[in-house]
Amino acid sequence: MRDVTIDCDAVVVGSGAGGGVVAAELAEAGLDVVVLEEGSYHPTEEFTAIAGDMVPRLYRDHGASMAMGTPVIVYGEGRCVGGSTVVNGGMTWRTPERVLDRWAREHAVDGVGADEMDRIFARVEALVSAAHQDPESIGRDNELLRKGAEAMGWKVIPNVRNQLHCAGTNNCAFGCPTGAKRSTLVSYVPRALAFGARVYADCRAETLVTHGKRVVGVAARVVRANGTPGARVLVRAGAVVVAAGSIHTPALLLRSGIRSPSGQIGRNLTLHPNAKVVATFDEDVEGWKGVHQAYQVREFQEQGYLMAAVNVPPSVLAMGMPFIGRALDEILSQYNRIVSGGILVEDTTAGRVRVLPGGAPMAFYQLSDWDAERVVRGVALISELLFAAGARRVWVPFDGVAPLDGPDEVRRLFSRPIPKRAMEIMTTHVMGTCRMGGDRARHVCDPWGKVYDAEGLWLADASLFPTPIGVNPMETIMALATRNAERIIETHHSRKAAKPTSVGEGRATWERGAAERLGAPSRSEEASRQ
Amino acid sequence: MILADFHFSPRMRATVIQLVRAICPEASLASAVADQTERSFRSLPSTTRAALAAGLTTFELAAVVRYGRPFSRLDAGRARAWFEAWWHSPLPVLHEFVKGIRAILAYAYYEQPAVKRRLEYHPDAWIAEAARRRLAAYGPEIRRHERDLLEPQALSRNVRRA
Repeated sequence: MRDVTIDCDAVVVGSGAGGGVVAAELAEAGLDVVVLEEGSYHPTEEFTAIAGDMVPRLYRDHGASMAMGTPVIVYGEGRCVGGSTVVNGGMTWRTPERVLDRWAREHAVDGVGADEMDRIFARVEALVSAAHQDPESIGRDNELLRKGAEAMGWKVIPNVRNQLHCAGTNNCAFGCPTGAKRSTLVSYVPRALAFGARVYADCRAETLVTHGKRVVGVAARVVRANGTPGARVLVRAGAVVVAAGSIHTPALLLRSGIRSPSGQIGRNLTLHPNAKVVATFDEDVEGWKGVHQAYQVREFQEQGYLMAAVNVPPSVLAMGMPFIGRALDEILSQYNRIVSGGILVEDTTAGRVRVLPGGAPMAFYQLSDWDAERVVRGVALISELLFAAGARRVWVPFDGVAPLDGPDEVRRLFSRPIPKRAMEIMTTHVMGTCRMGGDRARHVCDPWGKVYDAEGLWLADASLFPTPIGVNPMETIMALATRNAERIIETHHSRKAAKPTSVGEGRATWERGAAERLGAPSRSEEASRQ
Repeated sequence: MILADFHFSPRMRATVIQLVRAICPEASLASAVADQTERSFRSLPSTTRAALAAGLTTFELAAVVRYGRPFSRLDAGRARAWFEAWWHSPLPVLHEFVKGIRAILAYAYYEQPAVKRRLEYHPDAWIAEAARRRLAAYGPEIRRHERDLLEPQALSRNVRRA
């Protein structure tokens, strides 16, 4: 395939909760939109429950990207058309008001009041069909979670999920095989295409193309089937929107020489550390029959804890347990009588994304002592809940800690400090790194995602979050993307109205600069070749 | 996207097979687990893959210092002891390496069809049944939603079409 150059009004990097939404909104408003997605296109018909087939196709780094620190925290990111929305659990929660208030108060994020955001959230919820589960889709593991919470007298609520009559196949993490989960793959991306957007899968953004302080395009490479780089793709656009996630968005900016007066690009990484416990029951549970998470325990939300039942296939469950050989198999052989309980902690510390020589990003995150204590407390709480639901034994994610055989043993978790290196912690909520706010000296982007001191460059993903949000982030990302799209559309129209001929003139200038930088043929050179 | 051009060297494969024997419940599946592990390695980033490959080589050869022979040629008891020595090592790099390898091997082992059958985990039939029920109960509503999804619904009154 030969190198190509594409002109458009807006180029969007990424097609997940941020990119897919921005692309659809801009396209519907009449902009000529190009989406670059590093991952491949996998339609619903390809999704199966064979993790060994799906994980390499749908996830970056085999779902095992690592934030370096003690402990190393494994995080999963989608890499496919639809991004992480294809592989997430589908929780669709509005940003808590206390979080939006904090953003407004501490970070001068304007326009996130309840009234203003209500319109945006409602639009997102309509387009992704956010709703509670139909009763027949709820499995026994979730009913046991609810039973345990009610026995403890704790607040438990039904989840709102982006689903249209979810069938309860519990395959969310490997692509919904019925299309019921309304990931951007089956919602916003088709909508963007219907309004004329062009989506290029297997196309990795390498650098942003700049001309002075203006970002004028994206230089990308086609990704061949064996992962090696193929033809060059230069996309020239009046607006460049990066929505590559909280690890790769700052990396792309840093690789491109974008510097923020705040010095905050790549900083303020937060993760919502997750820990899993495994409980065995006397009854058959078959947690794979029923939706991934039907309920959330919200009793301790104000203290920064969420709990849920999070069934995963045996292989994924085994990965995250600190046991080997017969000891591991003793647990897994009871797979159909297991409830996996997950605890999410709203973290109070922050890490950083750096770019390694060669351009790849690396995340660094040191779990604080305080958050490590909260992980232990969270594990203790969900263990109590599972015993209240009837669990016989609970395995905790701490190497060297024997399983708990009853609620009286939970206090054993506090008998001596559990070293951080003994903790098995993972996450799927990666946030921060290009935080938005009203002060260019403290923030990378303005409250609508426009990067300070980089004309034409906008962000639209979880990297914008000034703080962790304490709930699943998908709807917040989608809402911010919708909001940012609105501002991009206004900017686009006002630029056109003010200087009707400037775009073409500008393009002629930056086209030469971009072509020189890339070593790629300019549009005029291409034309003369033909 | 799956990288197609990575294969274990014979020595690395021998190390992986010995690891499976040491830490997985069934040695008879060692070759199949090694194949799955190789597939997992293909989709890792090159830096991670290189680090794991270097770790496997070190793990293999450093056993010579303690036992006089490489890890892949140790008997089962010593192989397990060598793994546990790294698992409990105070050096974070050794601990994190075997922790990562353990996770990859555990994943590969429990992905084996024979193991899934033993655990009575057979989701395909459940998925097919649940999908059929969904369409029977909600088919018209689903089709209507799919149609409506592609209809214009302008973002804001202030936004005009170009």
